[in-house]
Amino acid sequence: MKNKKKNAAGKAEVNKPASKTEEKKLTLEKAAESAETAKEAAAERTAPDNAGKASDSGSKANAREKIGPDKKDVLIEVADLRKSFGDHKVLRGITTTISKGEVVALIGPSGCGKSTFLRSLNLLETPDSGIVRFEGTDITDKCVDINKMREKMGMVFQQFNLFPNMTIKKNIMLAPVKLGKMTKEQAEKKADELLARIGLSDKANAYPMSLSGGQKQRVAIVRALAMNPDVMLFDEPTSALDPEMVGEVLSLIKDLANSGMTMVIVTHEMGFAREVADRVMFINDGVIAEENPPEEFFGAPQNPRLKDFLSKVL
Amino acid sequence: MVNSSRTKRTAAAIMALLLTALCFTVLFNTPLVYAEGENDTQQAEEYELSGKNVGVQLGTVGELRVRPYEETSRSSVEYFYSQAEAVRALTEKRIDCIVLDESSIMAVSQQNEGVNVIEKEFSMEEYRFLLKSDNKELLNKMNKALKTLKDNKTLESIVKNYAGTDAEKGKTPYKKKDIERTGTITLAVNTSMKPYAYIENGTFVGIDIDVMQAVCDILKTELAVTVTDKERIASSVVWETADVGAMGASDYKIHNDVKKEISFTGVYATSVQKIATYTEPEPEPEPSEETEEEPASEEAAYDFKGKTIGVQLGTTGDIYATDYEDDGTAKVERYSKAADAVQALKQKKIDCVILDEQPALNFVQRNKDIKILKKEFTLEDYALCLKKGNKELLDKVNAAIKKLKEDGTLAKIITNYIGTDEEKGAAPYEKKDVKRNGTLVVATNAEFPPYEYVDNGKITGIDMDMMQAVCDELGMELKIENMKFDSIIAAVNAGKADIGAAGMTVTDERKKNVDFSDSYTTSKQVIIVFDDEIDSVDDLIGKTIGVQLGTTGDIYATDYENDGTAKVERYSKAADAVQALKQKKIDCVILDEQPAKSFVLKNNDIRIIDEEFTLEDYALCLKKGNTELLDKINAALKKLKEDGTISSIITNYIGTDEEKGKSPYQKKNVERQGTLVVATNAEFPPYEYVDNGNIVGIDMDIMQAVCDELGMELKIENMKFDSIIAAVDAGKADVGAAGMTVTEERKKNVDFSDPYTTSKQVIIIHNKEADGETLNFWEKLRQNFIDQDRWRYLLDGLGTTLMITALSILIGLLLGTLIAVVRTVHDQNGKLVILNFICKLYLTIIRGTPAVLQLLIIYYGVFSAVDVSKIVVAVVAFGLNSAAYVAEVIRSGINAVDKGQFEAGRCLGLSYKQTMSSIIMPQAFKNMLPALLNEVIALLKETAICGYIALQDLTMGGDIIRSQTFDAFLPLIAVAIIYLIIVIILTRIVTVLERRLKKNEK
Ligand SMILES: Nc1ncnc2c1ncn2[C@@H]1O[C@H](COP(=O)(O)OP(=O)(O)OP(=O)(O)O)[C@@H](O)[C@H]1O
Ligand SMILES: [Mg+2]
Repeated sequence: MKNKKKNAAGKAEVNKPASKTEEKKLTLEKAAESAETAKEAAAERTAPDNAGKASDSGSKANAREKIGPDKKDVLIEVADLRKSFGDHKVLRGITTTISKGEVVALIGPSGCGKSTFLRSLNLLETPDSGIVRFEGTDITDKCVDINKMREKMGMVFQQFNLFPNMTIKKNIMLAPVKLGKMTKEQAEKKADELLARIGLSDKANAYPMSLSGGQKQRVAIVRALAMNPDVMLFDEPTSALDPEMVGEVLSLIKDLANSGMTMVIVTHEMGFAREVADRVMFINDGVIAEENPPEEFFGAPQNPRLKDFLSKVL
Repeated sequence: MVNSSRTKRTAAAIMALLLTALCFTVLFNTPLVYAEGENDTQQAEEYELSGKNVGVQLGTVGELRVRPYEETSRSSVEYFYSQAEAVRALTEKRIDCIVLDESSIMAVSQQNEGVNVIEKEFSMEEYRFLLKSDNKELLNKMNKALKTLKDNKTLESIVKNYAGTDAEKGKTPYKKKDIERTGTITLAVNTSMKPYAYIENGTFVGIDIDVMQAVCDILKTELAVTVTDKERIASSVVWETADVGAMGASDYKIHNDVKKEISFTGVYATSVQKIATYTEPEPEPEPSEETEEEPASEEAAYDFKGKTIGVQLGTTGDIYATDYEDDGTAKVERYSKAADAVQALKQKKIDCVILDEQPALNFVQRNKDIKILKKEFTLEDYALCLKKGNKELLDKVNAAIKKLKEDGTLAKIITNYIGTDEEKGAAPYEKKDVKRNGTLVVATNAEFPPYEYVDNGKITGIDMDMMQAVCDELGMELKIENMKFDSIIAAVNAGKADIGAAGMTVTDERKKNVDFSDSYTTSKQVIIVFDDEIDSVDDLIGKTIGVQLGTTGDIYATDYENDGTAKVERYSKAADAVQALKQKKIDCVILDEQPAKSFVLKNNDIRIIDEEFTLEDYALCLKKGNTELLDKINAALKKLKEDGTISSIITNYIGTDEEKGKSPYQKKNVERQGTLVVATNAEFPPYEYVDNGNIVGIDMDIMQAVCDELGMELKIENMKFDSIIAAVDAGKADVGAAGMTVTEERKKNVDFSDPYTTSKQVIIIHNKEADGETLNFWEKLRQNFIDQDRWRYLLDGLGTTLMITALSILIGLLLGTLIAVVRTVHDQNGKLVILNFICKLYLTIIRGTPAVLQLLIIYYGVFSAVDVSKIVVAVVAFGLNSAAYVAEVIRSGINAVDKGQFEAGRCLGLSYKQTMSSIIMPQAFKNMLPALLNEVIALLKETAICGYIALQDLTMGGDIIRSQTFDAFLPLIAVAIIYLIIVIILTRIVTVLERRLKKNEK
């Protein structure tokens, strides 16, 4: 409890770059409050193993109890998320909350389930059990139109996944027009704006093949942004890039963070995580082994596995 | 080496003579050519026409008789319009000899010094009219009339008027008498029988006509002349379409079945043809001398030098041949059976076979493509062999043989096997009922007819009967041990057998190992050589026969195949069989007479042999139990027969040149209700064939006439011959009309109408004479594609092929996409389990069976009851087929799209369908475009099997041309080129398309 408060205070006092808006700060304060409420859940987590065992076959009711009452500034709530591929239990009960405007960085050793967790948030992976509530709706519920939910959750992949048979502009316009979000003209205007923002207006009518990796990833990001999502999910957005291109992508993401976008980022870029994230999560053995603001996370890691991990990557 | 009694030798010689005479009697036992012991072959020994330049006068019997020499390339023949011209050519030595009527030739030789008439007649013929045998009354009247005409020299003057010397000809025309007449006698003739029956200035003239006119004048009746094929004259008398038949100088041999039903009048004309040669008046007798001796010297001694001789291992033939082998003049192949040696000879693996005379005669009788050289090789004695020193048995056996010789038993036994046809088998040796003590074991080699061979599973033959007789004499039980010839002596020596009896010649070498009994008969070694003419049905042995699948020819040939005498190649079209014959892939084709004739007409390198194979009736076939229609059709046929419609239809197609095409059947203008679907195979001219794109022919006209009678619409379905019965059975057609013979087997599946015409199976063989005559390339091109607008078959076919391909691929794409979607959805989400199972089953079945079968099953199975256009059938079949392949192409195309693309789409909020349609499919399409196009190309080529349901696609178009021009190469090449061009165009389109799509991503 003490810790949490300190976290919140610390967060407020952190020297944010000048560009960070007042609004952001406000959101952060709210986030701090939400963090307060999350502590009940955290208390339970003190014995994660027991909890995990108890609810291995956990029901929704069980998970709902853990989340507690809805909060307005909470964007995503995850409770007792479990996922296995065959016999391989990848996620063994993940419970966390992501507030609006929060930037969460996910780190962990390869194969620990970061991508699986991230992809569970927009149901690219269907969880075996547990709840993922997005803006108050349990998206694991079969009655929910997942497509509608996904419209508000942008996702960026390691491999960009641009549509090679369409021009850059078409790539961006496709979803908004197809889904009736915008007219063609509106979409075109939006695309032009976004391309101008990342300085690729001249490539509007080029095909993805002719772009560099960094350019492709930035297009992929604005393609997701074109849908005006409420949250952006990044799965190692820079891992497939040549080192000299990493910067341009990271700075775009940083800009986004500064504009108040809620983001969950799986990354191996520790420096970037420390700089941009509000909270860093370490996933190990299918559970969140440690989550803290970056200073504490990197400055005073508690979990021995995290210490070990950090000693290797830093 | 050979030791024999003179009497036995003479006996054997007499027997050989008898046999030869018998052969000739059989060969020349024809109704009109009365050979009476003297015949062509023997005369040919006097003056051999072979290899000579022979002159004949057109329109004479001589011409008819010499023609075969030319047709078989034995002689080259020059034809002259007048005797004078022919004689001039002879005296100027442009030709070696002339063949003319006896009276003419005598006149010629008297007028021209140096022209020598060969004493022996070249041919001698007597002419008689033929009548149905139960028409005794007319026969008697005619015979009386003929006698009158002979007595008052009318016959003589008629004959002279047509076949006399140049001076006599045309001088004494017979004048029809101006009298009152009652009744009509119809005379059936063939008008290609100059000078006996032919057409001049639109009227029938000739000896036969004039004589018959004279007869009619005496009988006070009208004479009506009806023209038919020479082969049909006899049957038209039997069928009572004519009262009297005159075959003129036709060399046609009347079938035995028919012969039973006809009788002949007295002789009204004779023709004796003689040969004249020319020696210049100065004493210079060389040319004729030379020519006369040539054949004899050829026969004098067979030159073994450099030849390969076939013999049976261990026989005397082997011994003689070994001498040649040892001094290096010849190679010797040794076979364990004489039959194998003969087989090898037939296959030309060896040049000749040396064999004992009687077995050789046996083989030659059964194999007309081999012959025995006249000069025998050696004479030799046959004796039994016994273990050396077994004096007691030897004496007993010798005593028995002596007795059998003396009481005539031995001669009887031999006559029973190698006598004349009458003698043969007439007096088989009867085992006597005597008391028997002990067993006599006889070793033999039962592959040496007629001395020993297996008949009905029993070892029989001269030697065996004789041994039985010996045993009867000795009072012993006979036990026969069959073994290889070269084991016999060893077996006797080893005591395994008491006596060897195997047509064994006594030789010094053998005497060293065994004792021989007294000789019991004499034999000769003869040489058999290859003689590759087929000229009778018997010659089919060992030949490869081509037939059209499912025809009666096939049925007959199959008999030969089953008993191992011949090989059979089955073609789906008669034209293909003929083609194969032309290319010498087969030796002959058995085919219905009329189609055979039209093939031969168009191909002068093949010919029909004179002897017909069988007679048979053509009838329509109907679905079993459809008695209502059957009765109606039979009634219609009856009516058409009676009112002459059928005969006028037939005459329109197979009459004389004048008659042909003159009386086409005119479709009647009647009210029609319902449709009669007729299945046929339009590759069987003149019964049914494609002409100018229409299916026409005798059967089709008859069917039109039947439909006119029944008041129905005629619809013709063209298909493969062996599909017709199935089609009728399946109800796809109401009637099958395809020159179909009524057979027992077919009757089991369909009902037949009454026969509407008679046909024969004939044998077509290669005609050596006309090999060289071929069209050049441009002429061929013209013939195949330009004449009669034949290119239209290709163009129309191409249209059909393209249409079927396009429509099929459309169905394939639609259905294939559906299947691919089901399969992909199942793969990705695990949904649609049942649908996926169905799709998988479908793919397995379609991809696991030949497309031809699918097509046939859909045609006969699925659409059997429904009357749909064949194009629809093909489109459905190929559509279903290609769907299976397209589905897998699409599925793998989808799978080849990166999974990330799918996820990216879904993450943007697009639904599964939207992602599929706007992101995955466009990319998948690009991936699968080449494979899809390959599928189109494969399908295009696959449609070539449309012919199986007789759909006229491109390939079938080529086939139609092929069946009309008998040129396989050009139509096939043209079709191939067209396919190739389309494929190249398609490939090109895809390359361009692919490039354009690629460009889009840059
Ligand atoms: N579709 C799948 N089927 C089976 N196993 C899977 C599947 N996806 C992931 N896994 C397994 O789940 C585990 C977690 O995978 P995940 O991709 O979430 O790891 P990660 O933490 O993202 O690793 P990395 O840092 O290498 O990206 C891994 O062991 C992986 O092999
Ligand atoms: Mg990952």
